[in-house]
Amino acid sequence: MTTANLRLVSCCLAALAAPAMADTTDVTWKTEVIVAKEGAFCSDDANCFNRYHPDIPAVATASPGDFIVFETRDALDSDLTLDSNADDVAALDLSGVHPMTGPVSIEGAERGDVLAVTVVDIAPDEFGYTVIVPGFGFLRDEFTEPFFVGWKQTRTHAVSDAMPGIAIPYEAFTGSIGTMPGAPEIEAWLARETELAAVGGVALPPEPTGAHPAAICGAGGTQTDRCLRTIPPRENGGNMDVQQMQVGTTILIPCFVEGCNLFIGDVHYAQGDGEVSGTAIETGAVVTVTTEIRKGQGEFITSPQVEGGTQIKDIEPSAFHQTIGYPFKDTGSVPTYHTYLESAVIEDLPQLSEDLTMAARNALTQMIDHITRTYGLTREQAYVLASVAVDLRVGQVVDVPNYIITAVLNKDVFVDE
Amino acid sequence: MNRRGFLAMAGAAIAAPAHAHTPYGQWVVYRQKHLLVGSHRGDLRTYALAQDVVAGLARELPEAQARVARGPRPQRIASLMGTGQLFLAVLSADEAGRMARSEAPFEGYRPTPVHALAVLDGDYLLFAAPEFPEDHGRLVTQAVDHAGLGTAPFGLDLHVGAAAYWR
Repeated sequence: MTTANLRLVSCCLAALAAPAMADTTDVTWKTEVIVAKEGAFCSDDANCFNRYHPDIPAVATASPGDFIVFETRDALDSDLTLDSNADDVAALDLSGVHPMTGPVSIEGAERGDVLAVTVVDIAPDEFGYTVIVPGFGFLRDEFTEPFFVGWKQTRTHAVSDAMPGIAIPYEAFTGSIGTMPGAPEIEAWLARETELAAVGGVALPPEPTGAHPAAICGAGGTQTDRCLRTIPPRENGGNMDVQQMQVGTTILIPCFVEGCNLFIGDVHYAQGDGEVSGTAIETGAVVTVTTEIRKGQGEFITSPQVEGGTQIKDIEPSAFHQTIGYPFKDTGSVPTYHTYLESAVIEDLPQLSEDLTMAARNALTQMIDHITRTYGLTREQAYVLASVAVDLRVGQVVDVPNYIITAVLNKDVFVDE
Repeated sequence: MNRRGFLAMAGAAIAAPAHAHTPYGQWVVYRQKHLLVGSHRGDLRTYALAQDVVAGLARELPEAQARVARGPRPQRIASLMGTGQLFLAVLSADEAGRMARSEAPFEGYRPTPVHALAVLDGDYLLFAAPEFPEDHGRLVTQAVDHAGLGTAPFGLDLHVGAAAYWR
């Protein structure tokens, strides 16, 4: 008999001889507030909404320190499954994004306070997905056809039949977390976005189609023209898609209404800085947070901020490949991001001055070239990989005119390396 | 109108209502570039038939650059058609009738007119939104007929282009 076997037998005999031990399961201390997911879609769920307006009522109340459990939906509201394909992407109705769970009123919180939200746990669904949606994403002018990758997820890695040889580490965060804006914010934000849209900027007006709650934000609702879309992150947080908001970090969000009315949704199992294809590994999840009210701090913290520790190191790769992007461009072209400026100067220039967007594009396209050349992936697979495992980072914003954005590929994702 | 004009007309005639409802401008461009044929996962026969229609259009009307769009449930067809994001779809005749009358499971959606192009596989309809251009309807109906996929509908509201073809 080996030493290991002896140890096993010894262990089992000890267990048999021991008296029955008290079970710890029944000893509890947490106060939990559970915001449950009900029904198949956001439209079926009283705890779900997908527009912002202060008239949207809180669905629960919690005290500071309570463990608030948000059962969240994926960004596209549960349309896709492991056996989905590009045909399913072609039938997406984007007017439904993003289904948010909540809002939850925090006792004692008022307009002018800051809500400190500590992420305690994120339990992802078993399934997640990354898609290329035509017309959406950083390289939307190059990737014009739908593409779908379904991921099988555990608490350690996500793998996909469509991405052979790749395992993405579990680094989940809440893509969307925020507080409900007040009436003054609705007016101010609508005005500035309307002004931007008027000159051709990408700003989305209120859209009653697919809006929830329909009685407030849908066609014929009481606030149809004043319910904000959830696509842009704003001073109230929302769809920030910042991967450093990992479990253990604390997100500071200004309060604009009585109770703050906290919401969470759009969990990302993993994402690169940039989320370049337009989607991360999108998933439903159960998110647990606690809150603390920082009275009067809204005077100083006017947009979300994040407090954290080693989480920022834990998500770093142990090996990487990096590309360097400058703001160069082809003469005779206007980058899609700059067309709304209608500058006659841009078209004939071979490069732009102090332009991080063009630098980011060039870093990313070099990275996609690198991935396809080195690992044999298609350009669509490489774009998806970049969206979930490549970090776009600012190199410098001083060496005029060529500011630098870099693209950092996490080589840990390659199973055979 | 000739077949060569199919895409040009798609851009001119269909873009306007679509742009009013979709949040991303280039999503509209995609739906101009491809003639999408709607189906849904709740009745996978619709998906198979939509794939047949797309294959037939690829042979008979390649200018359409048709492809299948598969929603998660039949309500998605009503939602996309009702908001100018989809103009052609396959549903069972029973489901199409329910959609037109806003009956279960389409409560909460505005009645979506069903203008038939062809009967597929006996019990299914290929149909178009009312704003689908007449010439498009005629060309698609002709392509489906030539591909041996469909027959003339009887006792149903016909799309004006299909009526011109089957007459």
